[in-house]
Amino acid sequence: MRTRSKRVPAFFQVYENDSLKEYLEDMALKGWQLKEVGSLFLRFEPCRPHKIRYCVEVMDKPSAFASSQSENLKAYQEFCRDAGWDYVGTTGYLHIFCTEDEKAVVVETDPQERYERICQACQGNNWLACAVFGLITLLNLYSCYLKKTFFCINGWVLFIMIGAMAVSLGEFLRWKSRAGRSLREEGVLPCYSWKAVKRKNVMVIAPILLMSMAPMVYTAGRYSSKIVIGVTVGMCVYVILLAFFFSKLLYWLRVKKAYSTKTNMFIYWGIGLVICMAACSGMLAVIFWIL
Amino acid sequence: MAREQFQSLSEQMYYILLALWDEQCGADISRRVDQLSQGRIQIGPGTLYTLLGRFQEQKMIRETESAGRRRYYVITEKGKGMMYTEYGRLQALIRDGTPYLGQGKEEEGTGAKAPKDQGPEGLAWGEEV
Repeated sequence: MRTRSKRVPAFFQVYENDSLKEYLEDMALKGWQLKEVGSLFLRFEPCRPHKIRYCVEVMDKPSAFASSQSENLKAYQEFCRDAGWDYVGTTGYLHIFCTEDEKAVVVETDPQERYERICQACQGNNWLACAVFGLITLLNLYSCYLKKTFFCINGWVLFIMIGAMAVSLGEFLRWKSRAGRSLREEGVLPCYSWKAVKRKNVMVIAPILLMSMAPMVYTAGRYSSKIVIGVTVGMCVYVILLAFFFSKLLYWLRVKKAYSTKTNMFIYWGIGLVICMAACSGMLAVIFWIL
Repeated sequence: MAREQFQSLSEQMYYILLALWDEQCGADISRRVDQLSQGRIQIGPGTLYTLLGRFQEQKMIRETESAGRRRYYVITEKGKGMMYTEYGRLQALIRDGTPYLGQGKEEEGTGAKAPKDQGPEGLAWGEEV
């Protein structure tokens, strides 16, 4: 008989690692143990409600493209296993360990080192996000240039993209400032409760979704409404499918293959870019054919 | 002015190098540090792993034996030299601070006293000077 499990979206930023730790420990107390870690989802299986300690850490020289089969990571896991910590998985930058030993010393005990690694990982993440968002922004900028106006769907998409990036960057800079102050004054990193993180995510994602739907509402009843609805729905489906595709590609490269970090980066960006452009062209062709 | 990474050692670095005065394997280093510091310093496996890697890069320690995934390390002459330099620096801090912070000295107006748990020169080990 198959054990029931549940998947939960893993919308924790790298600097929210301690919030994720708190969330996992609360889930264990409610009878859910983390079994599998993906880039987008965490998979839990039922267990006896009890205390499980977790550590969510960023390794030295962090990279989202580092293979899970690298000797470095295996040695790191072995070190932690000897100290009583079992490796659960990685979201890319964040590595998750668990133990039921109350006396086990936490995996990373140098707050300054943790802070520096989180900053390095966030910079890497920001470059990745800038590259993806930058590509979409350029395409929309080009469309605005062709139409000779920003007051169009593409201009609206630009506004949402830039707004989302600004919010994301602003949140990181706010954490960085608070973490620096906390380290100087108390010698520890700040930790937001996972419920506060969840609320913050809802407050950020909900307006973005509403703004994405705004063109449909604005053009309702007009001759162009059909086109706007088609494009908006098509773009949303496209973005979701892209996110899943890139997440699966990265998971496959990291977990199933043993390539180097640079090879993984090359494959990810190379193949990803080609498939992204092909999918974009195909989607546009389908939308115009339907309409 | 740029500061070299190991110009002065943190407490954790100091105790790891001290523990490696005798050959130790990775898992035993944390326990040895705990013994040497009488429970005051605890080093997580992740922190230990990173520092051992950096010490090896700087040739402050060397790997002596590898039994499966268990690796044994010992401090090198370069590492010992850096430890002696650090020890001398700490001695100088204590020596210079003793007239002001030594046992029995009180800060005027505040009545602050040196803490009870003191080192040989009246300054508790690890106290910021």
